[in-house]
Amino acid sequence: MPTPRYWVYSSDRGNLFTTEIAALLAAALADLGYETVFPAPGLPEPGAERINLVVAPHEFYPLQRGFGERELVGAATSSVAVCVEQPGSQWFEVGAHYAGLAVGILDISSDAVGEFRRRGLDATHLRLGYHSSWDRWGGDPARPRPTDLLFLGSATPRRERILSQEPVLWDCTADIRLFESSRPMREPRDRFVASTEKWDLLASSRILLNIHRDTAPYFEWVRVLEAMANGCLVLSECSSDYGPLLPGKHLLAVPYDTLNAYAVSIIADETLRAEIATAAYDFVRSELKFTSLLEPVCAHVEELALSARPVRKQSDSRPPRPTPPEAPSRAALAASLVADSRVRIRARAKLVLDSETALIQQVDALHASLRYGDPDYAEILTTRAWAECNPRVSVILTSYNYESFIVETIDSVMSSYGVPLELIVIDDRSDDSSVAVIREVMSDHDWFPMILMARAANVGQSLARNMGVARARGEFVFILDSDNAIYPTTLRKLSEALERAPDAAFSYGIIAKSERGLLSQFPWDVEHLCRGNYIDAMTMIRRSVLDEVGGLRSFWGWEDYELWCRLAANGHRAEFVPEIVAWYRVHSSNALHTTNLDINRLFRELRIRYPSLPWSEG
Amino acid sequence: MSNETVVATDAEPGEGSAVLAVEMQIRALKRQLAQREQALALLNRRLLRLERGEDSLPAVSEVGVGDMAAHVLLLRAQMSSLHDENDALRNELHWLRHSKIFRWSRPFREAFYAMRRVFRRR
Repeated sequence: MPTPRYWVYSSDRGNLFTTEIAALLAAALADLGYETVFPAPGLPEPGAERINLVVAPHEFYPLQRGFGERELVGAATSSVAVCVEQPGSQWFEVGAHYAGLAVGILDISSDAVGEFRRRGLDATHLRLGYHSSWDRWGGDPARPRPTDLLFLGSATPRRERILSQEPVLWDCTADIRLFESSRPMREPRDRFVASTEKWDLLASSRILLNIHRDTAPYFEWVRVLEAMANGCLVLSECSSDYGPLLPGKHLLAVPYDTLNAYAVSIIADETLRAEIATAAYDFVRSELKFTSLLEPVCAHVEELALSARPVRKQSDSRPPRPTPPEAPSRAALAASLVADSRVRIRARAKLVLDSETALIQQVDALHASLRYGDPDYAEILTTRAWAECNPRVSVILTSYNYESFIVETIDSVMSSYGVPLELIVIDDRSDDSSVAVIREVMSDHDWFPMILMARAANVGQSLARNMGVARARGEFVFILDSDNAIYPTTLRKLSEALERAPDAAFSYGIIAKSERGLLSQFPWDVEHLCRGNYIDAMTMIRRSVLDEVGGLRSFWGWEDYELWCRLAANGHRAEFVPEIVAWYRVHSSNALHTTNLDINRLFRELRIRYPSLPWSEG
Repeated sequence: MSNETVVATDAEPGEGSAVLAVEMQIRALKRQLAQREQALALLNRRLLRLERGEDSLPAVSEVGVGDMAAHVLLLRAQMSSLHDENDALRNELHWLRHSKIFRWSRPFREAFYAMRRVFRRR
């Protein structure tokens, strides 16, 4: 039996992305009629009849177990390196080390090829292209695309800032799949999709939004080609390497600050969207077929294998190690000491603030008892529409000294559609004119089902919310703060999510933080939750579940986190809606600025309360 | 409850839910319109910058002059499509504002009740 010609290696402990590239390469080689082994086992071995292709050498060699450096170098010298990392990263350098020992270098990025050549290494551009295995659309214009906008990528501050910019993309069906970039993606999880599932998703989406992870304008070729192969329009920010694709004809390439504006306009124009997406589909199928692009590269690789000479001499056989952290300088030590003492001072300030608040609350409660005979006395005001409504959702809005924001917040609730609702406002004894402002709004909007409970004594946010929940008539309650706001579709989307997932205790969506990033952007994951709270209080919770677990409890500004942990410990879960559903106003008196001061103390307390949760060690 | 107050007392049975639906629909449409207009304003600014030559397209790409012209045309198409969409939304808002149901909501309803109170006193 003849020896197979091509042996395609990729690490089984590496990222799924590289495994996908290796699989594509193997499939295209097989299409060209080559005997191909994929995934090839062990380390590449020399042989006149075989060509070893090592995909992502920066992962393949460092992740090998049970081999010494000499064996790795031996394997590298009998292979062609297929590099996939962008220049500028430490991974590129690791890959470049092994690539330098190889008989040839292929790279999927033209920028990286340029970088190799600048270093005197002969590299060849392996342009990726269309492959029929990606195509789940098949050019069928009648295939429904229920998702208007799709985003796939790791969560970086830049991407989150751009996604949160105006105009916020709330008026569409979006699927924003951000995943934590701190861990390698070895298998689909956290809504990270691969292969068939990813291509199906692209074939069901109208637009793929492409945002660079940082300021380097590298074009995400694989993602773009996969979208085009599935008739999904690519709306990308400007990049450095489009050719031979033409912006305006095969994709839209626009400055990052207009991405959302273009998305809004293209969602409203299906004819234009379909026209560009179809042009791109036709182009990649005819001009960018991967087998056609690979054929000349194979001829070149055959020549390289025949010559069997490393692309450079083995002057340094040690791979670059990721740089260890430098010993801190005196200045850095001094700065860290100052920072430590700041944390301690802030923690003490928080304690003082807490006890002061507790005292004020006691005095308030005494006043209320003396005056009204009840420490929980609240003046109650309802609109005409209140009595006759039969709500599905009760919005619980707590108000405390936000007279300048509350009208906008109430107005955002009044703009909701698609679900019967009521608004319950609990004023927690504001010192400003919040109550007067709310009364005026109620008087002007008597058609809207709304109740104001103006407490005579301040009691704190969680107990005020519980008071609202006790008054709620809806099956679901939505928690809202008076300085934030929702979009017209928020309550409908979150209530539909709870209807779709009867086992979910609550639902939540992504929150745009005034063009500074996102909150609640990851799906429900108890391990993630144990590393820190990533879910804002703006959620929709089943009233029955809140009753079951005893409502919200005071927890030094982390009431929401305490509740998520309690729900998780009780075996409950949340349903994530991958769309922007609300916005969070960043201002000087945000609760966030006065909470989170003594994090260690809060974590200790949570561990004691909920020991069954998977807290990390330490 | 003795400490409860109802803001408005002149209720017409059955009227509330219809007004509620229309009022909320109008508000939602206004927000949709605001979002579109925000997008339109941004695209308009971009177009002006491009036409005045104050901006290159795109700053880091190798797109030539022909592509730039194509881009401007595309931008125009986008804006015209958004204009059409916004006109449709405006029409819808206008229709809702002048629909029979809305005529009976504030301020018409308030004026009607005020008049009725005056006549009842007589």
